Amino acid sequence: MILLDITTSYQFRHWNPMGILRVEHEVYKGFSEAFGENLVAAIYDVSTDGYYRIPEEIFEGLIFQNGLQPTVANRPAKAETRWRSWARILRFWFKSRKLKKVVVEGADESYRQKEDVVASELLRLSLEEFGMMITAMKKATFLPAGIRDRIKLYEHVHHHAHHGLRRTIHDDICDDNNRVDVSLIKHYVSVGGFWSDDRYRYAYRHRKDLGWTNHYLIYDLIPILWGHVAEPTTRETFPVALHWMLWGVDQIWTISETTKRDLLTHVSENGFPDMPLNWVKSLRLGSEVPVLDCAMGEERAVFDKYDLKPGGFVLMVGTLEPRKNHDFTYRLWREMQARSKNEVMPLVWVGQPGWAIQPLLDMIKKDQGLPHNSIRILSNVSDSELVALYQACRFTIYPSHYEGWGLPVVESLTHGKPCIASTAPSLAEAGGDAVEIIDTMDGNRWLERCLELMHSESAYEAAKDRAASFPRDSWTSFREDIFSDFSSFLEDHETSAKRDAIVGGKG
Amino acid sequence: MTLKIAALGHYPISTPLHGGQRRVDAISKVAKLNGYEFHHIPVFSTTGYPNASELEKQTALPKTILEKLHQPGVREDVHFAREVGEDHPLVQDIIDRLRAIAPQVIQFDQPWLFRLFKKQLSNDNRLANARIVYSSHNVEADLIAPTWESDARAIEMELALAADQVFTVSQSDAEVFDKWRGTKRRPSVVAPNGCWPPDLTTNMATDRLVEGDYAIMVGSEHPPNAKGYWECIGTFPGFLPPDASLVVAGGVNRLLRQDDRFLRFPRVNSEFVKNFGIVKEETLNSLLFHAKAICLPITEGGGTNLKTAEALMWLKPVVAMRHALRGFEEAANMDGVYVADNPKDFRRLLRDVMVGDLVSERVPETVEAYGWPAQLAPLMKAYEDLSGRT
Repeated sequence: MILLDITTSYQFRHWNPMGILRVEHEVYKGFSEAFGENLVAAIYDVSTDGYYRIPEEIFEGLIFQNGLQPTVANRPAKAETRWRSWARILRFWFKSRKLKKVVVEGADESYRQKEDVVASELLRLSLEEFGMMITAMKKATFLPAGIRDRIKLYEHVHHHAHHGLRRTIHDDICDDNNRVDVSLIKHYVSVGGFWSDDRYRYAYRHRKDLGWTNHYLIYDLIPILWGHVAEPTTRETFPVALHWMLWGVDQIWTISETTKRDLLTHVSENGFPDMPLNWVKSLRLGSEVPVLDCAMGEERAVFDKYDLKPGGFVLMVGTLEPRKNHDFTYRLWREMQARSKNEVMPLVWVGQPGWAIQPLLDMIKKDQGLPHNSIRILSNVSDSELVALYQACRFTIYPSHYEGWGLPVVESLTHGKPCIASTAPSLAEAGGDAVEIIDTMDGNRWLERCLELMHSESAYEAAKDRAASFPRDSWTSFREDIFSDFSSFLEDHETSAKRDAIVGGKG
Repeated sequence: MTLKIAALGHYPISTPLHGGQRRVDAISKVAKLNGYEFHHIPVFSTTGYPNASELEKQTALPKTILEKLHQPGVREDVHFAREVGEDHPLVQDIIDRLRAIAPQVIQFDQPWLFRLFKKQLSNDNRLANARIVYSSHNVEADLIAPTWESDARAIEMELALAADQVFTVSQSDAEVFDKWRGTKRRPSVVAPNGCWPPDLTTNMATDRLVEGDYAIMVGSEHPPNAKGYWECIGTFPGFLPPDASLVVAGGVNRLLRQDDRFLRFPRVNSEFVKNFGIVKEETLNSLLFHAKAICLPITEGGGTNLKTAEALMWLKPVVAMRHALRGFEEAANMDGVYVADNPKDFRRLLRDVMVGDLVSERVPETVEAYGWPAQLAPLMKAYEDLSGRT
């Protein structure tokens, strides 16, 4: 039986399925079709250190339809008069007095039930009334001992009750009835963010104790190779997780040859066990993107909102963080404005501000040498608006220092838009001949080429032809590739097991 | 008549921690085992060596001198004689002590004190006949920062040329000094570092300080130790299986913590590397006793390493850079000794040891020669020769 970890899809089910989530979805689709009931798609629960099946009746809605999110409780409005509000609070106090004892008792089931009563009573107060009560309690902390504990308890229970977290879908899933029986599992597959909790330790242990074979998909080594500019939490968690993974893995997929090469170098340089090279394979992710009619769609509003002229701006997509090298494009646009006699199209950065970027954003805001609105930052763009921006931009740029793949390059080319990218190896790999690579050390060349694509129609048409040559990869191919490689492993593994059994039998 | 040796050094040896202290302490003990009188007279800084014995403190530097020695741009070794000055009352006090001992041999451990006593020794009727020994620990000029190289070489050469005998810790050091001294002088006597055999029979199971398998590295706060660590262990200890760790004991931890690289992958390192700092002798013995392997990530530095001899005598697998075997070259062929020519191979060997693919079946007899008595035997012979007893 195969255990497919879908914890990442579950944890980020409120997101649209991009990146890792999309990959996890695709692998689930491919594997469930191929292996049927022999596939267990399950989530890891760190508090109980176990995997749990998601019940069939909620699986689709939960994983694929952003479903079963906790909902905020309906609360009564504040009472019309102040004394009525205090009457409600006194009522709550009267009811909760019965629970006084349990506050200091253990966390058994009866305690939980009593807490449920407190929660339901708290929800009979309005938010303001709850605030009044807590303020009053805080003023009275000189009174009976234990009142501080009560404040803590009420705030805790209130928070969970108000946000619909008293009993969540997670509690229902992580029930003993749904716990995966590890003795039935032979193969463990992880294509998600395995570094975010302890699941890699769990998989390592079961490989060691029960003989599981472990299969991982690795996206990149950014937290190791470019840790100084990586997201701070991942920078801490990923290296440890990768360490454990590399000591307990049987088959690895990567999303690019670049990641594969970087991974094998990391293994060899730091003394990890040698990887079985025939079971380390790079796969190409799908690059299908939806096509929208921008002229008709509501997405057009994004152009008005940011005063953008379709065909008259340059796009750069990616979280605003130092690794993406926004700093370079800022200096490029500043210099372009100073040197060019012609109008310079605005540069549009699409992405959420990430870490260690604020000093750059502040600098841009205050820079007298950069004409106003030369760089526009769009931080809350929907997926469909992003498609509209891709379709309407003149061309895109992506001077990132390092990537595991190069999704913005692929997206740009898939939309038929020329893309100029840095020499980061994965970008050339992702875009192939269709992407134009210029070393960021050659600032003049970047400058000349950007101006050329803005103002020379012949150069622009040639660049568009080049972008159009981009061979699009389908998610179907990705599913087929990963399934085929996994199947080869199983076949080889079973043959070896049989051979070992025969040899052992003879012995 | 009892052979009497007076040794002058710039550190005490009553609590031997670093390699230099341990070598002089061993020379003292082996000399006494041979029936000689060995008087160690340290002239030292109590700031650097607060654990000296009361006897040793009698010849410690006074506070006024310490202040001069601790000024920026002044080194405690190279500028020692210059800052103290040969007219200082402490020098006369030590000369008086030497007269009282009336040694046949006066030994300088490392060259830094020689200029303090040179004139007085040659002019003193009772001491002028004593034979002078330069007991070197390295070729100092080769290891010191370039700024002080010429000064160090001048001091060291002065002693090497004035000495009746030079002791070295390695053949390559001997070749340097013999070249300086010329062919007509006594050739240097080589006595590599050794160690006292560990008590392998003691049951220290209850003292286990680290759970699981671990390799151990022991190093003092000596820059080459940290350099070797970064080159061979590096920032990412991928060679350690998840249920194993690396223990780093000794003053080298201070240098490691001060280094930016220490914080590159803090979570991996805090999980897999246990930094013990300076530990007591019994703690160190316990750590060594329970270790699965001993590693010697030494890539530079002169002399021979006390750590190498000790590691060999624990009979456990030893993973060493070839440089660590300087003076112990023949050990490369011993069972359970795994030698790497580059840091990458070092990590691979350490990994193979930690997973049990490489083991050690070395026996005590194989390493007996690395004990201090055996290693220092040539020095004892040289003392006899110098005193004219043979």
